[in-house]
Amino acid sequence: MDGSRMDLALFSQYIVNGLMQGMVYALVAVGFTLFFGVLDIIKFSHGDVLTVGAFSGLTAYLALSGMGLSNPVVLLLLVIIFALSVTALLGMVVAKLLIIPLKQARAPALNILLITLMLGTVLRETVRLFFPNGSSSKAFPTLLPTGGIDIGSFSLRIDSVMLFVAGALIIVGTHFLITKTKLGLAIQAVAQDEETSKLMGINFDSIVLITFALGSGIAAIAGIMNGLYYNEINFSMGLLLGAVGFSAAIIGGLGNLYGAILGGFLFAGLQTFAVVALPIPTAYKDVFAFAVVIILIAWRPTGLIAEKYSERV
Amino acid sequence: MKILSNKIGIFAATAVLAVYVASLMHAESQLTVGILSVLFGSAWFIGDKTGASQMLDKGIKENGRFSSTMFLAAIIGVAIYLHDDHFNLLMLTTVMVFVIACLGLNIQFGYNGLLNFAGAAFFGAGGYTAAVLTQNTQIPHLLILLIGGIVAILIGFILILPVLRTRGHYAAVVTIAFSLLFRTLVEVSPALGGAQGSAVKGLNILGWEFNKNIDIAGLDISFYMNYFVLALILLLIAIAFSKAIERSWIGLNFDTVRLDETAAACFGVNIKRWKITAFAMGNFILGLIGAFYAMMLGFIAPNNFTFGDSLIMVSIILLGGIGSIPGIILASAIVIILPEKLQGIQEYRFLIFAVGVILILLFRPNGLIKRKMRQFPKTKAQGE
Amino acid sequence: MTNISLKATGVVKRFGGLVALDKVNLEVHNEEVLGLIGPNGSGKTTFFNILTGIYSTTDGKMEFRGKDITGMPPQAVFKSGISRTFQRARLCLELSVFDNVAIGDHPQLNQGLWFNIINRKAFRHEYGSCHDRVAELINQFAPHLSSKLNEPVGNFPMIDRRRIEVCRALLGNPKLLLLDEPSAGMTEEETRQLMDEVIDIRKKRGDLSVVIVEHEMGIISRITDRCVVLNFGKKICEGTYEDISQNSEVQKAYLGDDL
Repeated sequence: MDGSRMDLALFSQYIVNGLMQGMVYALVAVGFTLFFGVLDIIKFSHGDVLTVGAFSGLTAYLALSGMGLSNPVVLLLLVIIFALSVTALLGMVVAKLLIIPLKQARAPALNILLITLMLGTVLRETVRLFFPNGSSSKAFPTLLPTGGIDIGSFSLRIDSVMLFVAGALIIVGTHFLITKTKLGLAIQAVAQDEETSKLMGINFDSIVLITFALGSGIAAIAGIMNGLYYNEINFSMGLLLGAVGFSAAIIGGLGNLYGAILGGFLFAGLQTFAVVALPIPTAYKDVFAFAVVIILIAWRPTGLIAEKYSERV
Repeated sequence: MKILSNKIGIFAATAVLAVYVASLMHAESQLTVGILSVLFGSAWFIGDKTGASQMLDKGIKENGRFSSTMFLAAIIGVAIYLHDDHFNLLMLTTVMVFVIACLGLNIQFGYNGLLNFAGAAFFGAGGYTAAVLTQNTQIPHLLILLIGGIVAILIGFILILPVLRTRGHYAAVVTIAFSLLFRTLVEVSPALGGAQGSAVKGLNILGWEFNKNIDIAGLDISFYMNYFVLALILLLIAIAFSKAIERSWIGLNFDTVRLDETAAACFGVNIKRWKITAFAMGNFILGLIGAFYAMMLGFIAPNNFTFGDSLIMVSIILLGGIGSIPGIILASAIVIILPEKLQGIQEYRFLIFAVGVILILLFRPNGLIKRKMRQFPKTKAQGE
Repeated sequence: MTNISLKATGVVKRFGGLVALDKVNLEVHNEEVLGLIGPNGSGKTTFFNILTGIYSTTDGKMEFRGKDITGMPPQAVFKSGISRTFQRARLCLELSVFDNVAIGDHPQLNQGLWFNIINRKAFRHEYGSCHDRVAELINQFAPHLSSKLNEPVGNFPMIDRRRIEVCRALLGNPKLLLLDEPSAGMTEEETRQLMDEVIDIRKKRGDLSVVIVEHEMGIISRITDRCVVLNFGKKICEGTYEDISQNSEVQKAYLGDDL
C-alpha cells in the first residue's frame, strides 16, 4: 500500500470493522443510557457485565458441545439464551440488592458510582480467578457461516453482515419497546418523574428491575457479538468496552437513546479515522479517540444531544 | 481506660503499635501473619466497642504534638529495627509513597470534591519524567523530583477545561478516559520504553548514592534506608502542607466548593480558581512522589500505572475516610502490607479490596477514621 | 446620589418556551424593606437568581447603586454589595457554624497561597479578627450558639440554620440583602423574632436595603415599607401593603386564594 492511495479492499475492511465496533459500542452505550434514564445513576460495572455475558456464553458452548451437541444454529441460540438469562438475572440482583436500596437511602451519587466501579472489579476478578485458566485469552467458537461475498477485490464476511443486522435489530427493537409499548411508556414515566409515576400506580421497583435486566441482556449480546467477530474473549475486555460505551453515552448525551447510538458509532469512527487517515501508528487509535472524547466533553459538557439540565435553587 | 487519654497512655499505645508493626514485618510464616492480622482487626473492633478508641482519640486530640512525635518515633524505631532488611524497608517506604500520593489525591477529592480517576497516570507522569531525565541528562536528582511534579501539573492543565466545565458523572469520564489514554500512550511510545518499560537511575543527592548500602561502624544498613529517610521527610512535608491547607481560608474554600458550588459562588468564592488550585496541588504531589518511586524501584512499566492502580488510590482514601490524614496512613498500610505479607491472598487482592470498599461504602461510609472537624489555630482570645 | 439602590428595567427570563419573568421593572430604594410577593411560580425566586447571577438574563438591565450588574457572575454581584439567603437554607451541613458564617467574609479575607500556607502567623492574626466578627454576629442573632461555633451545622434545627444563614449573609456588610422565604420551616413567632432582629440590624447599620420574598402576609404587612406583586412573571402592582391588599387584581391573583 502506498501512502497516497489506499488499497480499496483494505479500506473497505476498515470500514466494516469500524461499523462492527460501532455497533458493539452503541449496544453498551444504550445500557448506560437506560440505567441513567430510569435512576439517574451511572452503573460502571456495565462493561464487566458484558464480560460475564461473553463468558457465560462460552461456558454454555463448552457444556453443550461436551454433551455432543454440534448443530451451530441450536448451539448459538442456546448460548445466547443462557448468556442473556445470566446477565439479566445479574442485572436484577444488582439492582435489587445494591442500587435500589442505595437510591432509597439517598446515598450520594459519588458513592453509587464508586460502588458500581468496585462491583465491576469484583465481576472482572471473579472471571479471572474462578474461570478455569481465566487470566489468559479464550478462543470463542465460530458459530456463524464463514463464507464471504466478493465485491471486487474485497470480500465481505457474511458473519459481519449477520452480526451488524442483529445489532441493528436489537437497537430498533429496544427503541420500539421504549417508545411504543406499555412497558416502555412505564419506563419513560419512571425516567421523567419517579414520584409521579408511583402515584400513577406504576410499580417503580419492577420497572427498575426490568430496565436493568434489559440493559444487562443487551450487554451480553454485545459481548457475544464481540466474541463471534474476533473469535477471542478475555476477562478484561469489559473494562475497555465499558469505558468506551460510557464515553459514547456521555458524548452522545446521557439518557438519550439516539445519543448513545451516535456516540458509539462516533467513537468507532474516530478510531477508524485514526487508523486510516492519520499519519500515526495504529496503536495510537485509542489515544486519539479518547483525546477527542475529552475535547468533545470540554466543548459540550452535557453531550452532543444535550440532556435537559437545570438546578433548583 | 482513662489512662489512654493522657501521655502515658499514648506512649504505651504507640509502643504497642511499633512492636506490632515490627513483628508483622518480621513475621515469615503465613500463620503468624494471619494471626497478627486477625489480632489487629479484633483490637480495632474491641477498642471501638469498649470506648477505648474514643478515649485514645480524645487523648491524641489533647496532646497533638506529643502524639505526633511518638508516632514518628515509632516509625523510626521500626525502621532502625529493620535496618538490614531490604524487602521490609522497601515495603515500609512504599507505604509512605502511597500515603503521599493519596494525600495529593485527597486535596483534589477529599477537600475539593474533584474526583480524579487518573491518579496513577499523574503518578506515572512523574515516574516517566524521572526515567527520561535520569537517563538522558545531568539534572540534579532533587530537581528532577520537582520537575516530575511540574510535568504532572502541566499534563493536568490539558484536562483542566473539561474538568472545570463538567460536573459529577461527566467529570468522571474525563479522568477515566485520560487514565486509559495515558496507559496506552506510554505502552505504544518507543521513546518511553513501550510495554517493556524503562530503566530509571537511582537517586543521587549531592554525590550521595542512594543505591549503595551503608556501613556505619561495622553496622550493615540496607540502601533502602536512604529512600526511607527521604520518603519520611517528604511525608512530613506533605502532612504539614495538607494540614496547613485544611486549616486556612483555602481549606474553607475547598470545602464549600465541594459541598455547594452555587452557594459558594454567591459569597464571592471563585469556583474555577479553587478547582484549578486543588487540581494542580494534587497533581504536583502525585508527580513528585511518582518520580521518587520510579527512582527507588529503578524501573517502570505501563503496567504500574493502570486504571486499576488509580482505583486503588481512590480506594485508600475511601477506606481510610475521605479527607482524613490518619485514615489515609492506616489504609495505605493495610492496602500495601497485607497482600505482600499474606502471599495467599496476593492473587485475590483486587477482589478483596473491591469487596472491602463496597462494604465500607455501604456500612461505614465515613471510612476507618472519620475526618475531624476543622480546627483553626487557636487565637489568644479563645485561650480560655 | 439618587435614592435608588437597585433598578431593574425590562427584565425577561425564558426557560425554553416558559417565560418566567416578563419585562419586570422594579426599584428598591435606599434603606427600605421591599416585599416581593406573588403566588407559587410567579417568578420571585427566579428574580433573585437572576439578580445574583446564578441564571443569565434573557433580556433587560439591572443597575445596582448606579452600576450595571446585568450578566455579572455571582461572585462579582456579591462583591458589589448584594447578599442573599436561600429558600432551602443552603448551608454546608458537615462544616461548623464558624465555617459556614465565615465564608460570607470571603472577599475580605486574604486568599494568597503564601499567606495561607506559609505565613501562618499573619493568617492567625486575620483568623482572629474574622473570628471576632463572626462571634459578634452569632451573639446577636443566635446567642445560644455562641459556645457551639465549632459544631457542625447539621446538628441544629431549621430555625438555627436560618439564623446562621442570615449571619453569613450579613457578615460581608452588604448594601442589599435578599431574603428568600425566611419563614419556611419556622413557626410564625420564630420568623417574627428573626425579622425583628434583621430590622434592628438595618437600623443600626443604616445603609442597608432588604428585599424579602415571603408567603406569610403577617410578616409582610409588619416589616415592609413597600411591596411588589408578581403574577405569572409579570409585575401586576406595587405600593404599600395597604395599597396592594386593596388592589382588585392582586386579590384575584393572589390574596383571593387566601381569603
